[in-house]
Amino acid sequence: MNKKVPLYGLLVAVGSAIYVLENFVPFPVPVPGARWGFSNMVIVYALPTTPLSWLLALAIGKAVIGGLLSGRFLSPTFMMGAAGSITASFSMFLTFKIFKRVGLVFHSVIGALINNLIQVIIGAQIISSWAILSYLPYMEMLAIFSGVVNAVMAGILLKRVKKGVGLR
Amino acid sequence: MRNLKIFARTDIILILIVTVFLSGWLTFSYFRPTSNKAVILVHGKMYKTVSLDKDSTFKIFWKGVYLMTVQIKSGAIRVVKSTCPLKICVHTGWISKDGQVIVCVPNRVIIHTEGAKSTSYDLMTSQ
Amino acid sequence: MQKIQRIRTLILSIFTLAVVAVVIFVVISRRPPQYYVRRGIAFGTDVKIAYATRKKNAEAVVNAMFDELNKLNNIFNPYKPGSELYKLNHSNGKWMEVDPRLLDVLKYSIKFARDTNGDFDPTLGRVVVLWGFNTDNPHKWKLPSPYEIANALKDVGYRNVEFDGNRVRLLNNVWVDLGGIAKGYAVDVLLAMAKANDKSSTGYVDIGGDIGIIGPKYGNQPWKIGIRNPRGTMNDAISYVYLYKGTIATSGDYERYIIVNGKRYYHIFNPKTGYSSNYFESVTTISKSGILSDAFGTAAMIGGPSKIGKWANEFGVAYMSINEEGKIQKNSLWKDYEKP
Repeated sequence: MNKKVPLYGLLVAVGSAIYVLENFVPFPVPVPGARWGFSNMVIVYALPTTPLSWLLALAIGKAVIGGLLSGRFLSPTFMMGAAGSITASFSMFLTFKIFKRVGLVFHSVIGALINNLIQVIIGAQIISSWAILSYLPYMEMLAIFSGVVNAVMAGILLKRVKKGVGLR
Repeated sequence: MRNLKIFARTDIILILIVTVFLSGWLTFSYFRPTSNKAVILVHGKMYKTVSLDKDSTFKIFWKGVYLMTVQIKSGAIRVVKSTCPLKICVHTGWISKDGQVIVCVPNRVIIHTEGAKSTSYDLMTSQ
Repeated sequence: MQKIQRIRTLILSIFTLAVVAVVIFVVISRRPPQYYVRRGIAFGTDVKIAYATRKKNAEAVVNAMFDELNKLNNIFNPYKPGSELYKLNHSNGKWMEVDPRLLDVLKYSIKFARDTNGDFDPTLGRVVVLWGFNTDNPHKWKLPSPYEIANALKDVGYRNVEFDGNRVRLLNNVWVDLGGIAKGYAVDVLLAMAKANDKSSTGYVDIGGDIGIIGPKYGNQPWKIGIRNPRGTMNDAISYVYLYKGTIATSGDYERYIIVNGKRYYHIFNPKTGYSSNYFESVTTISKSGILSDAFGTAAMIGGPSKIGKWANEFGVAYMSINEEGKIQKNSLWKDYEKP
């Protein structure tokens, strides 16, 4: 248990860093505050070995610290990121418990789909118009992309660190 | 800890299903006729709201004076005839996208579309 | 043991959902108010104002802005009998006490005329009337004879406007026409009204293509503004810029013009020749103040490519010009606005 704290701290740090760097990557769909969601990579990485409580702590941690670092703490953008991340972690945890014969990509893509769905819903609230719901299919297309990227990156990392410093 | 797979066959199936579903949705929404309307203001007051889904031609009067004839066809609206000297409103031609506007300054008529596919800009700077 | 595990998962699930619900609730309660949008006609053109304020008085403020526009229109329209400027133009060289707003704009325009070595000139009223561009009726637009133009030019010259406190005197028969500048001034007045009501309010004012940004869209996004294609239709944009603040205005040769023997003559006149210059199809200017954006475009249409760059540096404005061959030129400041 004690050994885990610094490891999760590290994951929060990496997640926050990706969160901040992500701000510089242009997002092709004009939904206010929407983002790629690459910082969920750390959650995918932790998914196979982490209980739900720690997973959620990770999601909240990276959203808060990433938000503070990019000066967006408690802004609507931050809320979208946090809500997306939390629900994504939760749903990935569920699929991981339920589906046994699937790969990491499955969970990651489901998480990304849910993440972007939440972002669109909250984005619609921010501009008080459901018109941007028409962007949902595009957002979900991008979610598949970032979901696969996250899973592949996290998966490669998981295989590499299997014998070294891991989360177990 | 079960054996970790990055890509399993089910994953491919999931991605395929979702992609097909999304593509279908996009195609569907692309071809679906949007329910559009045009708002007509005369002398700064709401004159009439018309649906762009039904083709029609009608005249605009203000206090009994004929101002112009407006036509709606396949989701677009235009001014066919107008009593104004410049005919800028007639030359504007068809408008169909949200944010586009036909203005007739002499007759003080503004026609703009609403709820339609939006233009690629918020505002237009012109002379 | 498994039962405890399950209960824990359940509690966590409920906790998660509660957190998400709270977050969504917070976001909803913090959302910026909707834009109140009103369209109308003033200054002989269409006006659109979009305004959002947390003070919930958007409609009242926008209505006040339209009232103000009508007042300004009644001051600055030189061809409307009874307007302040009409009275000044018909004051027969006598000192006249004028509305402070007219005084402001007159002083600004004279200073701008001096700064552009007279290429911008607010005293071209007689020439505008000679060509018929003071009316909205294109049948009255006509090419005057060189003799008539030379004659009208005798009654032109910004040095004939004299000030004494809040009094103004027009010498030598000149007529003032502030067409190249009044809309921009109105943009500034309306922006100030919006900001005086609520410093953090957002939206825009658009007076026939002279645009001022009250604040970013929804508080954090730029407004995407199309630059009208001078040889295209009304809704045809040739380029785009993204503005969070500031003003943008366009001067062009495509609304009030006549073509005689294949040559285009339009309503912006070179005070030295009495004809329009045929350098540009349009000049679009971005700057902090609407009056500057408006005046700069007018001056640049007359001054042409040899002066536009130098003036842009002096006045610190961003510009994009389209010359008579359709070639687009932008200064480096302009390029900053091309990214969202």
